[in-house]
Amino acid sequence: MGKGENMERVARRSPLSIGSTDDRPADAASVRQDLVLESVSYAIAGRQVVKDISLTVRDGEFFTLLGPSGCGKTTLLRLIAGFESPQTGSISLGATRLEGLPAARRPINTVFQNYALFPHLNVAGNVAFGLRMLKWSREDIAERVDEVLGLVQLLDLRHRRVSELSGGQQQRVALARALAPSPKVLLLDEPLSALDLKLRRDMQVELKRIQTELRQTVIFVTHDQEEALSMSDRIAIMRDGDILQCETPAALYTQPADRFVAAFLGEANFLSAKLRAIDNFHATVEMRNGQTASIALGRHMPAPGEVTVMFRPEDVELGSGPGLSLTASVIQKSYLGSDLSFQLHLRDGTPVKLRSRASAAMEALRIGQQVPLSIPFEQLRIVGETR
Amino acid sequence: MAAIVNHRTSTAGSGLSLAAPAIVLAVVLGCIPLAFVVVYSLLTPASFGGVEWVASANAYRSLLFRKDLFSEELVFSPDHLMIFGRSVLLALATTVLCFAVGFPTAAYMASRSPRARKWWVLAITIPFWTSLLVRTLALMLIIGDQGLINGLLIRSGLINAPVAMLYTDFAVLLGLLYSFLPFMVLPLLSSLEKLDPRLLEAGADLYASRWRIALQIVLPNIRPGIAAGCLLVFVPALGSYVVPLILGGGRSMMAGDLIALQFGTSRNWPLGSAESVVLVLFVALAFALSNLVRRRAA
Repeated sequence: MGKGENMERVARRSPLSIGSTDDRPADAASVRQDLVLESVSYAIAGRQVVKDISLTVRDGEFFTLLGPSGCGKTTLLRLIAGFESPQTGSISLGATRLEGLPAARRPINTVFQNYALFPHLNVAGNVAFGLRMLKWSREDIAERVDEVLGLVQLLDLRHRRVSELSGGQQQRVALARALAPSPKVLLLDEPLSALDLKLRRDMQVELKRIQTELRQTVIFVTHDQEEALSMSDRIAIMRDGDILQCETPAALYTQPADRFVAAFLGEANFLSAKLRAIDNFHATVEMRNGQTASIALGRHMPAPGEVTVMFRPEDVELGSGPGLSLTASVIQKSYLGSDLSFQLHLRDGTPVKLRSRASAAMEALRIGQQVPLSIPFEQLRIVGETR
Repeated sequence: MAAIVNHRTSTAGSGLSLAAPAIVLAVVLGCIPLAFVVVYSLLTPASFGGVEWVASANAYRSLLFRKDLFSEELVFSPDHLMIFGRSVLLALATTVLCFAVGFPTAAYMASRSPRARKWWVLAITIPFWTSLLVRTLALMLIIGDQGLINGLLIRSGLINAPVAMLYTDFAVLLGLLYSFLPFMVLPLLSSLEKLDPRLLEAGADLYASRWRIALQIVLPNIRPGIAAGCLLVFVPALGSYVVPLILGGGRSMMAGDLIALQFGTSRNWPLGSAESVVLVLFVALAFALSNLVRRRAA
């Protein structure tokens, strides 16, 4: 696919289509364009940074790559943007093969981690840059710049130098600059990491609003699990260049496939147990204390022998009840506003976390006290041990 | 933070005393000799060099006029203007040429790893290990009629007679380019090193070709380096003496030659001083221009 054809497709979308994507023209551009990665690998200096990754990002989806630093998520984003080329595998957008195209010919725009705003241009100049390169007419550019600056609520600052802006404002300019050419896919590389907590929360809401309004396909890279959970349609959890699990936030939280995913998204307790029996829907395990539990099968298919049972701190109940019963001593107690959090140890020293709304019974617990705990069987999950 | 503030205030307090050696040097080596030049330019030439302490504006008058031998009338003479104009043009051409060669060089160096870059900087500065005179004479051997280039061309049968390169404006420009190129490359390199590589990626991401990235992102963001480099090339090129004399063969006079002539053969020190003052004014103008560029960039 030639450059001209590609550019044309970007430019053909009416500059007015931004607020009302419903009336996208019924030409090729309106056909669903999923971003598909197939067996993409990338190594630098002999180290595999991205290992044989296949994934599909659907048109209009808010897709998040989540993982600790060094997991390869930024590299994957750079492969999609075209700043690096994969050694093997293919990347395509709709019917267009991308892996041979340089960044300047991909209808994909990026919001960089440090924003990378052009210091020699003012706010409007930055936003107009991509449109100027696409050779839009002066009037169209002016109109589009106003439109996008309105969208990120920066119209008043259009003539400011970017060095005079606050971090949050620079972030909005970077977003507006990337949105202006109506990219098929918007890439966001930890765009909120430089903002303070409160501003970050506001920007999350703002970003999600804009994404929904434009039905913009977004690939968002972050190491902040809360950010990922609150904004994404789907999340891919990455570690060491691999995608461990790729699902909706709720599915990832309630059905983690392995220990790493369970611990990375929220907090998790792990107990080891022995697999006794397994059928199509349930596994029967024997816990260390001799109790047997029947656990619904989730994303992980356990093998005979030792298995890992996971449950969330908020599912642990104080007192004996139906379900898994444990006895633990209180090690630490922390106050989290609406909630109380406890660190406990089982007799064999296994740590267990408990989190609950503050109540009189909870407040009364003292450090060192032995307490009975129970976890409903339906809250137990069997997870894999991360390789 | 408090330490930084303290540090700042203490430097501000002792700033003058810390700068004192530099100030003394600047006054003794810069201002005082310059004052001499200005004073000499307003005196009367003595018969065998030196000056007589009689005030006169004749030196400045003879920059633009000459006395008619018979009528003693003042006649406009463009000789000085021509020589200064030629010098300015040649210095400008040298500056442009140095930028045209120096920018790609600096851009290439900046794109290397820091280790490789050190070697490149060393390679750029190696010519400074010998004197300008030796380097210029070496260049003469290369481009002369019996020189390396003509020798090779004749032996390979491409030409029959040597191409005249030495003692032409081409030779002077080549010599000036060769002498002053490092002064352009090094400031450009230091500006390019400070340029955030993400800006280039952002340009590519926003559909800019390599060419447009260079013109519309790199150049505007290294303006301070360009201003410094141009100044460092233009100023010495304007006053250059050795290179035009040797490679130009003294055929066409330059401002440097002219000034040397007044203090030497012509024994007209006030005129030489007046010419120097004019040259200094040109340099000051160049400084003002480059400051303007730098201030707009900041």
